[in-house]
Amino acid sequence: MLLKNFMKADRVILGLEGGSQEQILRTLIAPMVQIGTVTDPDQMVADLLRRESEVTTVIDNGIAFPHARSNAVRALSLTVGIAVEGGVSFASAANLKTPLFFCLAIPAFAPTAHMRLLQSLALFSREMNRVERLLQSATPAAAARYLGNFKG
Amino acid sequence: MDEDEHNVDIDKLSRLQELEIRISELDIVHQGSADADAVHTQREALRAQIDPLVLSRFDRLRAAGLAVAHVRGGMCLSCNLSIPQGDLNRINSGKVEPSCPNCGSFVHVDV
Ligand SMILES: [Zn+2]
Repeated sequence: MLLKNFMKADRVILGLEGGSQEQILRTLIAPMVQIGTVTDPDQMVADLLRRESEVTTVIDNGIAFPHARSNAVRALSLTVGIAVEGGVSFASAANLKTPLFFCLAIPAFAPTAHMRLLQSLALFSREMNRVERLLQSATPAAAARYLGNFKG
Repeated sequence: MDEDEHNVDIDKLSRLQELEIRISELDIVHQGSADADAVHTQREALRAQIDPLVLSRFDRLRAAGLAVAHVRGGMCLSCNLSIPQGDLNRINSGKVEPSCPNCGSFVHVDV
């Protein structure tokens, strides 16, 4: 129900390639810049990098939840990034590859607006069958539909 | 409140609120498996720097939601009521503590 509100095909990136943390984050926020919820990409990337440097947002199975409150955000928004086969390096911990990203841009003026959404995404990520199915999505629209239908 | 001095450091309160939200996020995402000790330590260190009376007001507000709200276009985003320009001027000049006259939230005035 709730995820559906945030999931549209243009918020899904398939075949996300590896690179520096900054390059990956820049790719992840591009859809938010495109739709206008993020007004300053440089500021947003800096805020995400700072957050990531304090405590990693990568969980045990490699899934990453990069998120930050920022003055560069006009409305809460989510991008889903599905990495190339085998995942990409994102966490500083060696050997842990990230197959999936849930990137959240949170307005500084509404610092807890994302809590419910974060809970849904965390719950989704705990079941590897669900994650695998999302990773196998053939198109952004299929991924958006599958995730949007998750009742969590 | 005395017009000459107040003990509200809005930057510290904003940072404290950020750390508390961070702890909630870590609980959700990592389910307690993350090393959140550093964040807890930062939080305790920051709390020790804040006036106890201010801190108790902060905690009461936090129990109900946010303690530090943003003000945009003269409106407090906690209670959605306007703050009179005169009050905003006094807040911005540091003459009075940064809090909403309507709901009591500490406020961070956006430019
Ligand atoms: Zn208010």
